[in-house]
Amino acid sequence: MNSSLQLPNLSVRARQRDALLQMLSACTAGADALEDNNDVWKVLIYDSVGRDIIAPLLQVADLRAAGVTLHMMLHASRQPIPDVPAVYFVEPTKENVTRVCSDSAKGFYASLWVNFTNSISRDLLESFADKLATVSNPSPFAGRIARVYDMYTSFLSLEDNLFHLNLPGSYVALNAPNVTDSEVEATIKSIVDRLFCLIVTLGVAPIIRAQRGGPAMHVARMLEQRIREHLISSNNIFSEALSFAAAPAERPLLVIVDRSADMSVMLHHTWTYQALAHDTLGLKLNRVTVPMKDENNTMGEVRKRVFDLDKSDSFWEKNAGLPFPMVADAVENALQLYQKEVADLNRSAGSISGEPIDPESATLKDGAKTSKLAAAISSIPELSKKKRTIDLHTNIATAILDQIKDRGLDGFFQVEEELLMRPSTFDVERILALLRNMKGTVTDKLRLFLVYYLCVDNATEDDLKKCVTALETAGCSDLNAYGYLKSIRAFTKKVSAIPTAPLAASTSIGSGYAASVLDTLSQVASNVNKLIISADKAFAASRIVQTLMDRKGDTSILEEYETLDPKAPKGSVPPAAARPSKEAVLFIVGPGNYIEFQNCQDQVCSKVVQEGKTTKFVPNGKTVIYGATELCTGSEFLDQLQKSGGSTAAS
Amino acid sequence: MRRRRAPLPSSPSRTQSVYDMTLAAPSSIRDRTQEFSAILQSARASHNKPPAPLGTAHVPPRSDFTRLAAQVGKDIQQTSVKLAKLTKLAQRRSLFDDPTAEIQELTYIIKQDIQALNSKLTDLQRLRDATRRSANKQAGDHSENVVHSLKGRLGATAEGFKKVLKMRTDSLAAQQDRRSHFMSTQTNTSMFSTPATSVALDLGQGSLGSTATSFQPVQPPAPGGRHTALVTAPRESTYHQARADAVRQVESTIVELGQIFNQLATMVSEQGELVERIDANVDDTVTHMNAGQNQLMIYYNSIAGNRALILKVFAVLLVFLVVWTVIL
Repeated sequence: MNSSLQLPNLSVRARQRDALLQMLSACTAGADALEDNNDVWKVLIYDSVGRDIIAPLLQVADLRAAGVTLHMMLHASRQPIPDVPAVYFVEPTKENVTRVCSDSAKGFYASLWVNFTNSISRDLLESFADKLATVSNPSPFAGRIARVYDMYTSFLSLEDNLFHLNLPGSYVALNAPNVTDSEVEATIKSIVDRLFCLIVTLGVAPIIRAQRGGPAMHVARMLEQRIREHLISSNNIFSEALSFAAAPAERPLLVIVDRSADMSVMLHHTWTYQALAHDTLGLKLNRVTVPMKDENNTMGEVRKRVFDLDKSDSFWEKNAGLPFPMVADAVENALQLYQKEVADLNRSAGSISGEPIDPESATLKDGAKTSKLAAAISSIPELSKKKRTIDLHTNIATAILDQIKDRGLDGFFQVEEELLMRPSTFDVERILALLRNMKGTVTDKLRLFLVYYLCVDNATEDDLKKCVTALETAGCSDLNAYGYLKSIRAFTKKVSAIPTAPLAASTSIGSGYAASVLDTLSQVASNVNKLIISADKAFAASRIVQTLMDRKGDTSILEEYETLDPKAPKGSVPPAAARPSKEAVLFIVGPGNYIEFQNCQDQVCSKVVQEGKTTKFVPNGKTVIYGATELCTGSEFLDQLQKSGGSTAAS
Repeated sequence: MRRRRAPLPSSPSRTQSVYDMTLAAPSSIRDRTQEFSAILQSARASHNKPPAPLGTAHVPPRSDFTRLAAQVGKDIQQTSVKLAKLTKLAQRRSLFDDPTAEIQELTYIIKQDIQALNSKLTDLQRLRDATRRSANKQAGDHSENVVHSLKGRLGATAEGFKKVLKMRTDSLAAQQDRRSHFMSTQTNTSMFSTPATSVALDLGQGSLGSTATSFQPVQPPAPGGRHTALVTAPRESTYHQARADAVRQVESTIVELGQIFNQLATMVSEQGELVERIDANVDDTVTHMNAGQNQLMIYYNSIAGNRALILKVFAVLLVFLVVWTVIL
């Protein structure tokens, strides 16, 4: 029936994009029936929430293709365009509704197509109607509200398998000791609201597996309740999708995990390209801001440039998950390839003027030449796009490299890596050495220390004290995060119930690497040979998903996770499906990051293939969509921990 | 895909028949219009206002610009349908069942269409310029973008047209080759080459929009060509063929050059829109500017209030001072 529902794999991004395009075309199709006119231009009006949802999915060119001539903020000053329909894409809030009413009253646009990012509540809908009834519309024609839609798109999908709920500060909101129960309730409710949007967008009611105890269970129960209600109601939103997704094995698994299952991954320094771009340059909504060094400008003024990194960029698509030195190598290769292509082009097109003209076959040859020239010209846009991509990645890689050099990130990464792999035999002196080193910011040092604290259970008081002293001499005055983690550990030993596992793609770097300060990208590339990828390391979250999908393995995990099936009759024990599931959604209640996402894709959805010296990840047919309440860099998460700790001290 | 959506059980009546013929929302979108309109009707009733249906039941009077733009859009649509037909015809490579007459006719019609559309677009641009002079910048931007997108679509159509003609020319040449293999040299060659070249002549004139290029009408095949070819001796006929080939080569070269210039022009115009995203912070800036201005206004008002007070106080002081000095 609807082709988008029968995609071989679940893809959040594609589905959300489809929904948005349908929103835009709804207005045209509706007008079609009434006015016998099949291309209607429209203006798109959004608030900041709507903008964030659209931005990673549809570029301006896509909007133009969908017939959108103008796109404006709801609360910016706008001027009337009386004979154009307007599509609104806004969060259902009182403020927005009021503004829509006033637009309608002023007759700004021919008709108003109101789309809410999330389901609008009955109360708000009533007050919307009430306001609309009280304002008087001077024009008999313009400014009517044509349709009201619930879009259920209140989440941000950044990649095919990556989404987040855009709830900043979620860790503090859920875990800080001074947060009241009602505040936690509110946070959980908004998480459930948005997670429900995701499920509606996927179009299938999943089987929920949730970690017992803690907010994850809370979220799972409320979500199950919500899905149940919708399944019972007569015009249920799943009716179309469920008709062919009945078999339990074809329904995806929704695994809900607490952030506390694995804290160290959030603080860990990383070595993959995408995660580095996030951690050091603040990748946000698939765009990154890079400080540019201008050679001509010696005043030290820093120009900032913004780059988009998304699916359309094939280089990014291929290399986002690779360790950074390999990316440097790939940039180099791409550049060489590009130069070769340009040379080829020059040769084929440039020969026209160079060759002497043979009068006998002049006309024939001219024809051949011009067609060559035409081909050359038509290949120029593609080449210039390639050039742009290469430039972009050179810039980003250089910026990341600067950060790595300034902060000595390679050292941190290496030590943390070993810490995660062999926590029991780790020598505290190496950490102390790094803490006392001049390189690295205070945040980096604190992160290292916290990773150490989280990973090593049997650290002696003495060692910890030494570290704290070292940190204090390094200028770190705020140790609230440490205090907070300590209090958690004292309160419950559950933090380490799931043994903190070392990470994937763990790369051990030759010791000479740290010493030699790298100047050019090619030098980085030359270090690639020293990388050894050990591919059998999965983070806690990845291991949980894997176990739950395969339904075998670590029984403690299988037991700890409760099964909730919204489709099963209430109270019945859900039958354990025999077949392993192919599709799953992993949702972290709390912040997530690109390291965990990448690990999940590498470990669960791919199998390792050894190709000579290099290790490759090849898809194995499984799909895991990774989601979190927000995406946090290490320092942002540290900030949240500090806040949580600060409130402990205060209370 | 498009299905009728069952009305909600809460819908009070079937007065809004408009909704019954609307599209079905995709699975993840839920239409709340009926619920909303029910609430709105009751709200209107409670405010003692006449009930008015939602929707676009009344078509607002549309401006000339919108009407013309819609017209052009529809025409382009129709032209591309014709073009699709022509493509299908031109792809036929059969030696005997050659739909030359049909192709000629369609080619002529499409050419006329594109020409007409081009002039209409020019009209549209003139209208746009007229609206642009008004103060409403956003409306101006809107019409600008409409013209832009229409231009793009017409450009794409013309491009497709050009490709089809090129294909046709190639296939004609190939056919001719084959024919000359089978038949004697006396057979007329110019009969096949003439229509192809006369078509190809117009190819270069693809520049659209800003300059209103007039497309040259198709020249009818030279009547004398066939006659001459039939009566001349074989030797002369080969000479003619060579001439015709040469001329065609030159023409196709010109055509290709024309294409190149065209592509260069479009490339330049497309550069701008390629990599924009909506959250380029421009609108944010505007919002923040407005907020800032509002704050300034509030501050100004408070200052203005104070200024009046200060002036009054000073006036009173001055009066006292004067009175005091006068008394002393």
